[in-house]
Amino acid sequence: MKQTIRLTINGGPYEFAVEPNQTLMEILRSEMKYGGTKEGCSVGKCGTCAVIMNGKTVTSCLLLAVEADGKNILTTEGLSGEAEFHPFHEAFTPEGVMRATSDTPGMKSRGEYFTFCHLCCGHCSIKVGVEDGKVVDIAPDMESGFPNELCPLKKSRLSVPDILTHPDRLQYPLKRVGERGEGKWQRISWDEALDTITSRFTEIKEQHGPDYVAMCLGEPKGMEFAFGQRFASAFGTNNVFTPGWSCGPPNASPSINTCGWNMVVDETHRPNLLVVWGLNINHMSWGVRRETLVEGFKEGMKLIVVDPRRIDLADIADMWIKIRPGGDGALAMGLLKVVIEEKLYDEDTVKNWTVGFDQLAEHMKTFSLEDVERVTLVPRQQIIAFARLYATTKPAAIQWGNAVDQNPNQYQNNRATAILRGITGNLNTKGGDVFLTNAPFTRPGRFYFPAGAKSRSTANSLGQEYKIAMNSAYVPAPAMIRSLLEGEPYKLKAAWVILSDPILSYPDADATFEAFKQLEFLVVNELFMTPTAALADIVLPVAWGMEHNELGYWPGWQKQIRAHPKIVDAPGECWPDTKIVNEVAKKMGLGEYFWEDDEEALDYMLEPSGMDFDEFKQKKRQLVPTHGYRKHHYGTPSGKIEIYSEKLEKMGYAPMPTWELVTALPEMTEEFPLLLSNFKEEAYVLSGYKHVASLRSIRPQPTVELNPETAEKLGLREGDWVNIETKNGKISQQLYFTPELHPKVALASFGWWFPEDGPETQYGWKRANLNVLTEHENTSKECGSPWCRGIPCRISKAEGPNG
Amino acid sequence: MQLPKFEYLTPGTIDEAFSILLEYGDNARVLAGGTDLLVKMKHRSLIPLPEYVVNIKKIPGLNFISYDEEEGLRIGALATMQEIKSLLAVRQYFPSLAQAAGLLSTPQIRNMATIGGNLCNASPAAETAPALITSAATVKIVGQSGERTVAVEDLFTGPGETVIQKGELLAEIQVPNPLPNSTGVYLKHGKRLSDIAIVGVGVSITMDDGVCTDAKIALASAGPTPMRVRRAEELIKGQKVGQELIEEVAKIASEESKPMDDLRAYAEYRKEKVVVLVGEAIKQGLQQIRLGGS
Repeated sequence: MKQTIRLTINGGPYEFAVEPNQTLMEILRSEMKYGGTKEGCSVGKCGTCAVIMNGKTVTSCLLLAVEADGKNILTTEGLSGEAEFHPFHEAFTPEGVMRATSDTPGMKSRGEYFTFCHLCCGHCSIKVGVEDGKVVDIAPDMESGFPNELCPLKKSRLSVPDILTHPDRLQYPLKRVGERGEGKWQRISWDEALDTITSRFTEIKEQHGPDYVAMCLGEPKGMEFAFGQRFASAFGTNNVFTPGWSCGPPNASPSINTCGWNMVVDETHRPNLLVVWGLNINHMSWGVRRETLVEGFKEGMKLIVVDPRRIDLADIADMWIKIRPGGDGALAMGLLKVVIEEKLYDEDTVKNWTVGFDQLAEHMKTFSLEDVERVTLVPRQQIIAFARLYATTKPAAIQWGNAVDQNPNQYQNNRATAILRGITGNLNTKGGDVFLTNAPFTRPGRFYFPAGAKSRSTANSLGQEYKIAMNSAYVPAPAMIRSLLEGEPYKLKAAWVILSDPILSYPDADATFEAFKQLEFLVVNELFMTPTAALADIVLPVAWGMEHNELGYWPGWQKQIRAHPKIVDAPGECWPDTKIVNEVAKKMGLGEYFWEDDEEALDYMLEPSGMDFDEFKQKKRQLVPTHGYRKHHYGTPSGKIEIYSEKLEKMGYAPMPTWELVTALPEMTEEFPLLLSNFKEEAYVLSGYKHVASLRSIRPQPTVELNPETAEKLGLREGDWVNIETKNGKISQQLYFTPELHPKVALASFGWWFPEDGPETQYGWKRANLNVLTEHENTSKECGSPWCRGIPCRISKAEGPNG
Repeated sequence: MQLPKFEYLTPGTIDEAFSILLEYGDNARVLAGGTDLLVKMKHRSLIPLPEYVVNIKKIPGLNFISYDEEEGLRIGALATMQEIKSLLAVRQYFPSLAQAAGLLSTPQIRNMATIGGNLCNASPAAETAPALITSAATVKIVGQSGERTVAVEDLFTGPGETVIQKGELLAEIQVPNPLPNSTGVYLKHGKRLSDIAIVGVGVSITMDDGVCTDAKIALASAGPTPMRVRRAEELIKGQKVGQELIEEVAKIASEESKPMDDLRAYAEYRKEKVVVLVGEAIKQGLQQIRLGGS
């Protein structure tokens, strides 16, 4: 039952009707629309939601709104008019309580170092506190002027000191001595490890050919990914598996094939309307930064959030579009229909700078807004309002997220969005979606494919049917599964996994697990034992970002480069991934493509800047791209926005996005009556760090969200462990009620495994792993994604965490 | 993370609270500072989830701290950690309690977290428990049928479990005045000072002319409940205290501890830390007595 509360917030009187289970933090977001007071950990550890109540600092995430009745509340918004840090923010932790050490400050030798956070691809500029050779604290870098606003949860502060000194950290090379996956290991020397890898890889190359050895690479942190690609080129294998099927190419390629370039939201001149489509940008940065949001809101920037989930930005958005998972392309087509039929597009652009506009306009007649509403579950009035607001607010920009990329209809969805950006005249204008010119450093592509080494050839590659993937230098994961389980078109013999945990991150985890067991020789570079490392023949212990000198150039679309200097020593015999690859390459006789010392590669990367690594680290730390704002400068074959692409047509793909293509969605059935999508918990980084206590105490269990009405019909209670089943498999997660969620939608958490389950079960990879529910068939023809968003599923009561 | 739904009740008198708690039993939970209860509810780790949340902060007489040279220290269940840590009398006469309250989490949590909540939450790591146990503190538990007094060391029956019955409330903590020539120390080992203790150690010690006449040693996060290590206590009582004896006492305390593995630390590591902290706590106590502190 709602209760009325009256309170003073930043000097003004307010009255709200609140539910007992609402916290003060939720009221400050949803009613006051505050952008600065945020939910971080939500359990009182991070301090992000702190406010001053009647003169005392309290955490508003653990304060019931009803208890704030009659109180005087002061928030960060009331303290500071600038999007800068107020002394109060610093004062949250005046007694060094967040330092990861039990020693009294001042007892040990101390240093402070500037670098960039290594955890997610936001790469905030940070100041690292080191005591006695150990990282003890991480604070925002308030001195350099680089983007520094840490994620609300302050994930680096809560986890980096713990990761670096974790008792389970791998410290020595290991070789398997038991059955594969049995968890029996023997410590070996680096010499033995390198010799074994060299001889096995060479043997396979000589007997079968280089393509029988696969490289499996994850999201780049420093230069490891680039070293892995370069090794593949030097060794001669075409089979490099990367997350490209789910991130990057599914958006970049449609953009390039529509307007000639990849585009990003202009953060130098901010848009007047920002669309955040399928990502939780406030918590995980890979595009628009938190600073940009705060500045934008101050300037009156409008915000539209497209997400099935009530992410925290949905609370402060002008419009929240609660879309059916997988319905993104249909929504984009609906927006195009309104923009075209109401003539809300930019006439000059359409008339002089597009190819195929009339065909698209004609195609719009083949479906109605009722159809769009039916598919997207978004009321048509909202679609019309969205289209009008987007088309009439200039400049406007769209920040897209991975959620849009992770379905077989990914390519056409993103083509439709690219066309929408183009015909509304938002491309390459100040505050719109812009093309960036690289900062001066060696292009990653040049690094991947050194002169003289073999370039990739589709002829011998796995997954050659995925032509966009082939052009983007990766093979989608499903092709690896088919190779190993069906021998199609040939069966891989060996793999080297770097930066990745395929059992968690590849679609169809059961098939991936079986596939990896088929490998004759598996090498995994890792920080900790993981489900994938548990299956390896050789496990190599790696140094983390702060434990060696490196450069960060990812995310690639940001076109910047950063210095991540060495700050502390790595434990035991850990080596950087780059050193491991470099040493294996030298041993294999591929030294001509590599360096005597892997750190020399850093100078090579920086050559175009005229600086070496030391100078760069001292003087610049970061080089950023430039904006040309060259209006109507499209790098397509026609020099125009190609709504109709002959290039794609010649490749055998649809030349224009169509209603049929974007709406070919899996349907709910009687057997599987709900639609499953997934989210990544703010506390973790993808599948990583489930054994870090400071993070695990924030999100202890995997959770699945359902609308309470749906749950009650199924006889489920909040907090129950429930089974989530698709035609591909079954997992268990804990049930949360989310009243705002569409009654047909279920949202499960991604990337779960249980280090505490131990090696017998390969660390519990089967229990709650979302990818047990995805399939490796029915993938996108362009980039190789299977259905990850909007999978028909059913939910029932489980006996406990084990199903 | 949203809280699950519940009905919110605010009894204005203690009798009203009793009848609510008796009526709803396990379906009701008492809300004091909320820093443990609401986290558990957000994590859906209290099953069944409470249908009623009973805020006791409107009940008069539960929020006070008083010190009397005769009676000692009395703390109402709703006193916050920040209030306890800041009060001069506590810092002066009950230093281990001031240390423990001051080491609990962050300032903004200390402004909310109450001592009654810290005890009733009954975490094996309960920050104030070792200091209170070694100070011979008792709690006043009240209910419809009257009140009873229970020593803090007898309060806990298991992780999250206490002797408090349905319909009862923990109303007050009473700490007797320390003996002359005695002091108390609380030390904590955690990854961060703001983190839950990996190991917490409370020691109280009374000295007479170089001889230990009384001692209590209690541990947190070293067993299913906060616990005393009596063999270690017996070893030091009646003895002249020197380096060798301190080492032996610390070793025995560690042997008596019953920690487990969890994500924060392995049991073995905890046992090692018990040795270090018990030794250090005794030394700090002796030092305080020599310097003529409390």
